Amino acid sequence: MTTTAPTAPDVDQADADQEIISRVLAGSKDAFGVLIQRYSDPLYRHALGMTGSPDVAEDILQASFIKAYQHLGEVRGRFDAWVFRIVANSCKDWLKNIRRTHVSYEEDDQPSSFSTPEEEMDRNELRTDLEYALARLPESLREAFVMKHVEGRSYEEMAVLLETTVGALKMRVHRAREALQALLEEKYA
Amino acid sequence: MSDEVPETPEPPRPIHRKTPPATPAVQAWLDGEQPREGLTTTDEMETAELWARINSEAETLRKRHTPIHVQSKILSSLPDTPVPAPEESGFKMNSGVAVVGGLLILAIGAVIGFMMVR
Repeated sequence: MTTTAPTAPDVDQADADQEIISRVLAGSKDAFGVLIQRYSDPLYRHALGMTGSPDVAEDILQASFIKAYQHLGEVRGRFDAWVFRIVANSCKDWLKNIRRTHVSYEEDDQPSSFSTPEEEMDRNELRTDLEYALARLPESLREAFVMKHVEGRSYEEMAVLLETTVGALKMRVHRAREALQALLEEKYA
Repeated sequence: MSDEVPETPEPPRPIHRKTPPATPAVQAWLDGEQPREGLTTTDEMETAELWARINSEAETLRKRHTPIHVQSKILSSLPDTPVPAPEESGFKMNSGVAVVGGLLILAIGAVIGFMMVR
């Protein structure tokens, strides 16, 4: 995988978000549904990548959108970056506060796309091991790796969302790769 | 006198790695800055093989969508009204204020300069 799929909205998108925010603040609660629909997938993937649990990711997504709705009048700049930071901070709080027991992507009931049971078993094992290895990374490295590899964001987009530099993020992603490789190579190399 | 030999701490065992750490070339490939064909050594190609598997799994995760019921659940749990925007403070810097301020500073500087020359 070498390509990234930037998810940053263009100027028109940001303007459209502002228009929706104005409608919500004027009393149209349903208009907020457009923002939920527009941004829930990337935010859900971030929460899932950070926590490893679909249930926790759902809870974080719900609480974050409610918080965003309650404080919608405070949005300055891009809505997607603002709501991303709410979700990202919630994930970090969860990682700090929760003593995790068993969490795994396997709890999810998304349909399988593997051609054979053997292939599915192999992939499930790698997925579990990847999650296990990710859980061992420091929070900032995990966040950078998830945004780059799981969410497919560009470094430039990550820099905007995390309010840091491209160079610092590259360093984090590189260190995360080194750590993950060391954890996974024994079994898969 | 005890004839027990005091325990000496076990020297740290060297970490045996099956694959070498990702080289700058591998990192550049993973960052999308160079093609996989640019990896030439056996070590780099082995490392790339491992990363191809990891990335394949990561891409599967990238296709995940929010479960359908979640969006409606969020909408139905929203409170009645959002909190209104906080009041703006009385003074706000805009381009007009900045231009007038700049001209004022220039005028003061000119006056001071004129007085010093005299």
